[in-house]
Amino acid sequence: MSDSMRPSIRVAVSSRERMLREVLEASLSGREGLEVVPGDDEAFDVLLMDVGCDPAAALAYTREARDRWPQAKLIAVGLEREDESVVEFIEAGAGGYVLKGSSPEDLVAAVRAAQQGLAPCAPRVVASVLARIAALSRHAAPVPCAAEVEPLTLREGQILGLLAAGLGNKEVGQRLRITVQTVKNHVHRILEKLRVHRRRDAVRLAYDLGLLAEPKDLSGRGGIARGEGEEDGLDPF
Amino acid sequence: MPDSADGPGRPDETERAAGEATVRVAIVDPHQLFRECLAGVLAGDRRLEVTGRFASRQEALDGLPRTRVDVLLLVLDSAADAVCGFLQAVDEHSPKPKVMLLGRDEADERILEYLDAGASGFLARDQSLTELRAAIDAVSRGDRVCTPRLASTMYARLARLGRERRRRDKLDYLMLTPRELEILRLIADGLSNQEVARQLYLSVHTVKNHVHKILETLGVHSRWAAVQHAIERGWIADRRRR
Repeated sequence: MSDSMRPSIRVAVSSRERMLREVLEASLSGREGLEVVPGDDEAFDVLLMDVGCDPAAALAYTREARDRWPQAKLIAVGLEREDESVVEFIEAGAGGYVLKGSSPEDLVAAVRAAQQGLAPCAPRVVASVLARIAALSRHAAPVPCAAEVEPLTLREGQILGLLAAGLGNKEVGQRLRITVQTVKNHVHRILEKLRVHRRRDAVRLAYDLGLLAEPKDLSGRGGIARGEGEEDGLDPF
Repeated sequence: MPDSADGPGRPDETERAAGEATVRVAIVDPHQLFRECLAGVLAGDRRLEVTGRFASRQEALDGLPRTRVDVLLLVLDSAADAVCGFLQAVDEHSPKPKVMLLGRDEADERILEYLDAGASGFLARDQSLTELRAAIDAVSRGDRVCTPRLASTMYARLARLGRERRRRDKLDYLMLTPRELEILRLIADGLSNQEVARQLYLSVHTVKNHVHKILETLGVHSRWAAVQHAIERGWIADRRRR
């Protein structure tokens, strides 16, 4: 495909500082093959994110941007040097980065490279990224597959949800107007189907399998009731 | 930050400072024509010395004990099986040569596994001879090289692992009851099980059970590790005395 036929790369700039944003946008507009679009438009190929003076906030924003716009390429702009902070941004979802000491041409080159699926690969950064991948892979557990598990009935799903919210057997019984013994029987069945021994493992597995939706807001969340009101030291099942 | 595959602290005889003697290169490639031509071309470079030409990985392993090699250039063919096994076998040689991979598909995620298994770098076959020489030079000095396309794949994998770790952390947090978080906060303040029990009007036995469950949920082995875990993730404030 010749350059003239290639669709323009839609670039958006995100920054807390209006002047920086306008300067970057102005510098990019008029460049061949690039089209500057407003950041809130949501229809962009590449998003340039100004790191600013608060890297923690920029990291959080990067993670959000990754979730919201999974198809877009994210570039962290304004990092001081190629050190561990670069790795943090990559881990947060940045596909590229442009250092503070770069030129306007470097910025344009970075946008084009990102669009083509290319990333900067300074040896130090590569080494650090590989080390971080190795470290995280060590703790990663294989994700279980829903197809391997016997499906829960509606009632069992209901009860599991209540358990996840931190309710004990008695409260579940009250909520669903069934006896505690019935609750215990259902829980026993749930544990059998999920092939675990403890209710907290059942809840954990349910989240992993997507049987339970993770609450977006953690502030009101409960947890697995240890069985306050139930006998000390005994696991309910 | 490691700059060689050998890890910190271990003297590496095959690393050289700038301006030192030639880099000894061995080539592993069943494609005879490419192998011989490449050997000839590299031999013409004053900074390099081609010390081995092997038609297969097995031949290379057999020849390594007798051959001084700083950089082993392994050309990946379509039969990319057992590369990790080869890398592990090379790893056992001392001094250990740096292994540089030359391959076709830069976005192949298996290459990341090879890099993890000990390969020092990867180059694509659509790059130039100049880039190859520069890469051999860099790798001999302990740097890790890869192509921009492979770096993109690598960064995507790190992002995925990062997301999964955050998700696991979030689930860990969900699995702790408010009571357990409270206990964790008190432990962070330095309270013993007895003091926690008294403060929360629980029996020591109950507190111990809660602590046990916390350790299990977080996958740690001590109270202090649990406190550290929670502080690192921002679940509780860091108010420990220094």
